[in-house]
Parts: sequence; C-alpha cells; structure tokens
Amino acid sequence: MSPFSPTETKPLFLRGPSLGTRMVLLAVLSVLLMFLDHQHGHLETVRRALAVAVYPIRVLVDLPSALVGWTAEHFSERSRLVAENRELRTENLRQRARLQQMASMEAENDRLRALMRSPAKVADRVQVAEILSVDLDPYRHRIALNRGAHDDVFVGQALLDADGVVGQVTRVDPIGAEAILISDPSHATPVELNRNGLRTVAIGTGDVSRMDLPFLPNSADIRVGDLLVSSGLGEAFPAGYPVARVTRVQRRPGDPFARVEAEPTAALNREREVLLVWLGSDVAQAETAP
Amino acid sequence: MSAVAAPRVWPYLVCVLVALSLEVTPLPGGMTGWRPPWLALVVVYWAVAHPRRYGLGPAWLAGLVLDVLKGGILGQHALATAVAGWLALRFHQRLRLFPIWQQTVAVGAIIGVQQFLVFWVDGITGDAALSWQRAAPVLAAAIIWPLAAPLLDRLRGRLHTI
Repeated sequence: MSPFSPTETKPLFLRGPSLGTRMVLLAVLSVLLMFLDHQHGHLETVRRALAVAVYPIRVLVDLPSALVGWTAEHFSERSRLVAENRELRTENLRQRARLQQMASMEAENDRLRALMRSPAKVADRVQVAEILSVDLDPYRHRIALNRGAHDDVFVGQALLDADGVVGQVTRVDPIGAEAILISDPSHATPVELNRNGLRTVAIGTGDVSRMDLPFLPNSADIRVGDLLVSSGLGEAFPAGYPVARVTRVQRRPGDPFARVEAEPTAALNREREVLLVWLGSDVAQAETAP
Repeated sequence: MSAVAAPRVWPYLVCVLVALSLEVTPLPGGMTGWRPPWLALVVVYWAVAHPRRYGLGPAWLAGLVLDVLKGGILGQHALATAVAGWLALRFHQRLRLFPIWQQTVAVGAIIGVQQFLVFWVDGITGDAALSWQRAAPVLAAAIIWPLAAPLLDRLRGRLHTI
C-alpha cells in the first residue's frame, strides 16, 4: 500500500539552488528575523501588516465560543433572566449607594491633597474590551483583545476586571491587541500592602492562582489574608487597585528573604471581558494631542 | 495536460488555514500542552505528497504567519516549520514506501526536531520551562498522523489533485 501519488517527473536539470542551500538561506533569514525582533523590535511594521491579515483567523477561532455565549443569552429561560435582572438591580442599588459616599470622599481627598500640596488624582477613563478565546502559547500567559490602535489602546496600558488588576498591553495592532497577564513568569507588578503601605514586587509564576513576593525580609510585617494593591510605581498600573491576596507566609531564619505567596484577586482565566484604563495624564494627553 | 499546467492550490491553502486555526483553538484546561503541532504536520504531509510543488518557501511563510498568530518572536515557528518541511522533503521517497507505523515513527522524529527548535528558541529568548510536558506534542503528533494521513489521502484522491 502506498498512500501517496507517484513522484512527479524529475526535471533533467535542477533549476535554482538545491534543497540544502535553500534551507540554509531560510535558516539564516529566520535567525536574522529573530535577532532583529528580539534585540531591537525593528519589525513592528512587518508584524503589524501581518497581524491585520491574521486577525480574521483569530475571530474565526473565537466564533464557536462567541456563538455558545450568544445562544445561551438568547435561549435561556425567562425565569432565569428575571432572577439575574433582579440580582443585578439590587447590586446596582448597592453600588450607587456606595458611590454617593465616594463623591464626598473624593472631594475630601482632593482637599487633603491640596493641603499637602501634592497633585490631585485625575479620574481614570475606562473602556470594555473583549478577550478573544484564542490560546496563544501554553507556556506564556498572553491574551488577544478585540480593541487596538483604532480605539486609542497603547502599549503598556493597564487591564482590569471587576476584582482587580489583570495585566498590561504588550502589542497593539490597528484592530487588535495582545496583553500579558500578571501571572506570566516574566511579569512583575509593583504592589503595596493595603494595611501598612509596605512596598514590594509581585512576580508571576506561570500559575494563574499564584504569585510570588520574593523580596520581603523575614522581619516584614505581612500576614496571610493581607490585600496587595497596585502601588502606581513603575507608571504601568494606576495606584490603588487590588492585585492579590496573601495566601502563605513562611519565614525562613536561614535565608535573607521570607517565602511569600499570593493569589491574584482578578479572575485571570475565567474572564471574557476586561477593562482598559486610561490614567489621568493619558486622558489629558489624548485630549490635547489632536 | 491542463491539470499539470494549472495545479490546484486551494486544497493546500485550506489545509494550512485549518491547521493555523487549530493551532490557537482553545482546548480544555489540562489539554493545552497536548496540542499537536498541526501546521508542521500539514507541511510534512504535503511535502511528502507533492515534493516538487509545495517546497520550503510556503512552509516558511506559513510558519511566519503562525508566529504572528501566536504573538511569539518572529522567525521561531518559521524556522521550525521550514526544518520539518526540509526533513520531510529530504526523505520523502523513503517516507512514501514505509508502512504506516514506520511512517508514524519517522514523522514523530521530524516533529521531535521541530519541537526542539521551538523550545531552543524559547530558551535563548528567556522564558523556557523545561518539563516532560514538552514531549507531549510529539506524542500527540504520533497519535494524529496515522488517523489524519489516510484521511487526507482519501480526500486528495477524491479531488484528483495529483
């Protein structure tokens, strides 16, 4: 049994370079591409052009799960929808009650900041972006979004969800963007302890339910259950958003640093939508730019 | 004669497109490491089936598109896919004569080389996690090949794309 068609007639004379030469040429070209892309990021225009061509594939792959969501929305029972609606209304009421307080507290905060002569915090602008259900790489925590340069998304922009910080944008195409999650092993988030303002860095582990805080001395005042919020240092994330909750503190007398682990508060692998945040200064920049 | 003059290209393109889509389709939780390298398998298949028509260039280009699709470093999958295609082209006459189990072993070896290149570039550029899971795609490829190759043969026969 020979599953393949017979070899096509071989030309008498070989035209063009041989197979080995072509392979070597392509390998050299690949290595050159990798070098330029990794060392200098010179290839952003090439990548952007290709990304536009590739975007339909991402949307196509996303289609089945989008369809499942759509049918679940349109064919769910009326009673369930009513219950959901009622629940949302109660929650909305609760949130608005808290927001009333927030207005007065913001004013008070501004007054206090003015007294201390520190610049007042400008309100952030947010926009909802959808995560395309596309698996990029099992060994890296990256996601694809459906908003791009067209919607003023920029590299380094912070992503939030309802419960905390999700990640930041790493690459922007005209109609889509890619983002890195805070749980990626190559990502570090500047954080501070909500309880006492102790500042440190939370590093991703490659596990969506765990982050490491490797730079805390044994004597640091930290306990299980402490909330870590973004510190705003490093200019990537807006200050004061929850990042993770401490799940384990192990003080090791023999080592200079304690072993501290935390669990991200955001639902990193269960979300379908995230919020893109424009900080106060970015909003001002965008408004003055055109 | 006209069939030779105007070869049908779309079956190849459809195969590559489907493979690219499968490369990023979400898999259930624990399965993500077990995704077969669909694109490399398709490239190997067509290199053995049509060695004179679908050579290294298309394989390299498809790999480049995969790089952009996965958001990785440009050139990583392009190199790995081209090498897989090159190995398949180099040994296509032998691969055709092999019985299916021997073919599967050979294709597994080719995919092993391809996966190693991907892993190697990951290691050089910084974030490589070495675990036994890295071998999973090779096993997955060896499981898929004896199922997919005869199916594609049948389809190709039906379409008369000699």
